[in-house]
Amino acid sequence: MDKEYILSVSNVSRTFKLIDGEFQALKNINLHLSEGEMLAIIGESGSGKSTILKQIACLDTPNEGTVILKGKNVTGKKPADVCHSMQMVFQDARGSFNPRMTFLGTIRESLKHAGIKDKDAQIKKAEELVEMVGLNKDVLKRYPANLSGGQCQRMAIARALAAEPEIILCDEATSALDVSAQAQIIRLLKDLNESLGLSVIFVSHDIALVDGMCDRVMVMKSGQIVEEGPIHEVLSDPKNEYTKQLISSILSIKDEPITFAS
Amino acid sequence: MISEREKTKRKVIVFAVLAAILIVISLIAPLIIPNDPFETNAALMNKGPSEQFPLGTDRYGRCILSRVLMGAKTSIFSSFTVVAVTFVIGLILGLLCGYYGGVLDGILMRFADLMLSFPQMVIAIAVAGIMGGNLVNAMIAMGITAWPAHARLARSTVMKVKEEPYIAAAKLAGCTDFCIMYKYILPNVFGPLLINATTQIGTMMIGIAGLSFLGIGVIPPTPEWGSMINEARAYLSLSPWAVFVPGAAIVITVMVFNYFGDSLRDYIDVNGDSNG
Repeated sequence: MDKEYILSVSNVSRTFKLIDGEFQALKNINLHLSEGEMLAIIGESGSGKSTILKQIACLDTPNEGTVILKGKNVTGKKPADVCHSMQMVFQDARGSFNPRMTFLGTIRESLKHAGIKDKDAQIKKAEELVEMVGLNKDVLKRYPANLSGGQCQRMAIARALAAEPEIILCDEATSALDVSAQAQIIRLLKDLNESLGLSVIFVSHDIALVDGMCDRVMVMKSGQIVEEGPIHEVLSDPKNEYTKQLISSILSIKDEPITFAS
Repeated sequence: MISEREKTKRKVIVFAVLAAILIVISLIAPLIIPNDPFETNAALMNKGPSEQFPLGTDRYGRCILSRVLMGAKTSIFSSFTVVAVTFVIGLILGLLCGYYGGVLDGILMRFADLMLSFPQMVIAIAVAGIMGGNLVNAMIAMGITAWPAHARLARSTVMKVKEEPYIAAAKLAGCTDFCIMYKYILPNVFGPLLINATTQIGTMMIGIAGLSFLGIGVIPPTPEWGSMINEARAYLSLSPWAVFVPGAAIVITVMVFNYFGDSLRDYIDVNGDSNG
């Protein structure tokens, strides 16, 4: 059954030890991703969205359960073991780049591990990648502090593409950006999904943002998946009370008349 | 109106220049000394400042200025060497402990805690006393007690940096542990740790001079400021210059290096960037 999916997460649980006890961040999570599919995971802060991505990317090891990537069990493996198949785009785009390294240095590092050893070939490929994400190749010479948040996020996507992955994990990749930059990043991801056939898991707390972008949505609350299904179905006819609250909260904000204090 | 940043920048430049002058003086000391620092003369014992001996002579009739200048080389370079070696050892151990954690971290850091729990000078005196009194042993004694502070600071800094998103991104880029430590962590922790090390030069100088003063450091007649004070202290009333001059040399040099380290740290704090 797992072979039908590019990624399968089965019964994954993750518990963190705290000074005064334990905190179960993930409770028996099951997740499947098909090739070329865009899956959204939404939920409030602390619901376990980022934690599940860390388990998938092998940046953390679950206490229970398995992560199957392209038919192989990768639970407990190192990130380097899965980096050729999946890449991650972080919420803090600028923070995800070494402040002491130019973008070219960072992307060349990814390309080197992706098998491109020749320096000239690395530079050429890096230029192609930045152009693919809509940036000028001159930005490659710059440091993270010299680009805007939106540009850094595009660079983060370019870096992710350097490894030629089949899956991209986006951890609140647009939440730190302004509305205009958010739209550009969403469009870019959608384009890459269509042109390269990339599978995308898009984590967000903004249900309105993933509408129209993703095929399927999973709603998380307190480390559990409370609702799952095709995005239009979940948005138009939510079954779970928490999902209804999430959707109604967006509508209530939209409907709220703007008043100014005199 | 000069900005805070500009003020601290000027301080850094002033103390860097002063520190550089001291280092240059210590390097060219053999070329600029007015007299032979080892030549004794019974007729010139405990003489005050004169044209031939600008800062007077000691109880053996040796030129104090020449000995202080030659002593600069011993004091400054022994301090630099100990700080540099302990900094590198502390950095490597702190890097490994901070990055990997686990049993290695537990063992090394408990050992470092043990070393830090003793007064530094007491251990140094014990080590120098056991190994015998000479400059190399005094340097080893100070080094044994100096590395834990560097290792502790390096470890805590590395532990903070390794949680940065760019480390997770580097892991997902396929980088090895060595690559992450060398290319991603080290450049981001090196600056603040190096600045801390510069503030240790003064402390180290006092430590080595202290051991020499106690007779378990540099062996006379090798000129060294601590041993010069020790040799002259019995004749303080007869030739106070023989104590004050090397004492002033220690105070000035320690102050310059301490202020240099402090101003460098202030400059980085003002700029909010670990590497300026």
